[in-house]
Amino acid sequence: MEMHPRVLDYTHSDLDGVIPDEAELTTGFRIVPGSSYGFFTDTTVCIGCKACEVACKEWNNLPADHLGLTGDSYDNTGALSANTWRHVNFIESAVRTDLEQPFQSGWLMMSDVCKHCHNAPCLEACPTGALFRTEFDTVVVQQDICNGCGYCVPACPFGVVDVSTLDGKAHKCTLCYDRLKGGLEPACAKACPTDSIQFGEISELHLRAHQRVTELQEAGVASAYLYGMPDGPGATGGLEHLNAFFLLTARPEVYNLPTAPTRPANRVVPSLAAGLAAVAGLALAAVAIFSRAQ
Amino acid sequence: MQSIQGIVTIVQEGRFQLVDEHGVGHHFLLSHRASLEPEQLPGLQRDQALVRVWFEAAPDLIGHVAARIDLLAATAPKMPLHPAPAASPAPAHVQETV
Repeated sequence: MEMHPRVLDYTHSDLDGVIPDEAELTTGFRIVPGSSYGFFTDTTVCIGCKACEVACKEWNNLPADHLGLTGDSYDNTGALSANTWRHVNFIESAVRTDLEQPFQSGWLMMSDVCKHCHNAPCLEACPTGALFRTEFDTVVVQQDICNGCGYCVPACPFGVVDVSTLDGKAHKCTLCYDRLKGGLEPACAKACPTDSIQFGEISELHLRAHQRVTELQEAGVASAYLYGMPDGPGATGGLEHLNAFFLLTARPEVYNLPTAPTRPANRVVPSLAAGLAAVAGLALAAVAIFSRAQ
Repeated sequence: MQSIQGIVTIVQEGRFQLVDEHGVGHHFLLSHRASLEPEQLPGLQRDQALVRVWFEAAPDLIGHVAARIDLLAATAPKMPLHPAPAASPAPAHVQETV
């Protein structure tokens, strides 16, 4: 990526204050309300360093949880939760069978996060309006409005949202809403040393992602594909597209992602129709039985 | 219930960090039974007010659950604020009260 010319205005280590529109220098994007922003996570360059997890916890003041050993390789956070909004998956598998020695194993690593769905099921399920879509096209829980009903938890097809038993409210990644408002890129993307997590304007990220898949396929990684692109894998069942999408090299379920996620709202009309049909059928049967008896 | 005195330095939603007189940072989550709301926390941080936090241990978490916050002074006295280390699970100098 080319260096932005404004970088030369800030060459000292000690700065007087926050750099205005800092994201323009770190990502190439000036954060403007009304545009769509998200993450493109290229799992092929993730090294499992967990800098994203740490940066997320630091910025959002989230406490460490799951203090015991998980027994699941290098994974010590286990899963996304009310206190863990970034989770690095470690999947041990034979990823380079042609290059590896028999005793070697390969690793697939992926930093999982809220997908900030275009048609967010959690937002559709929220009865209080605590979950809302921001001016940056991200999905955030307003803590003062959330009543902890937990409807958003089963609504999320990715198992992201969690209700804390300690404060009784739903929690999930905010895509660093406060940082975006201040012109900063999200903490996880800024901390990522390999640019596996890229933050930016969605249409530009889509172009980058397509280019990267082409590069990988030309380099011989035929299994590379995008999860969460419009009408592609991960954006099924009316989700349309995910604002946090991924480049994967194995089936989605290998990364603990659903193969075909759907909006629960899709099932409302068929369920209601089935219920009404059942009531109508029972009513007709009752009428038939009573009229025959008379 | 235990309590600790200090100033609120970081607030995010219902989570906050309290720095005690020794410059040690302690991590808290506001309980759903707490006597104040999360939107009252940023004011305490802005004013750097001296507060006493009454808390309980949080299971499987490096942090505490704050049940009550008492405002001791509207602005904090000059405390030697050293760079606060990460939140510690069990402050040794915590006052034990019933």
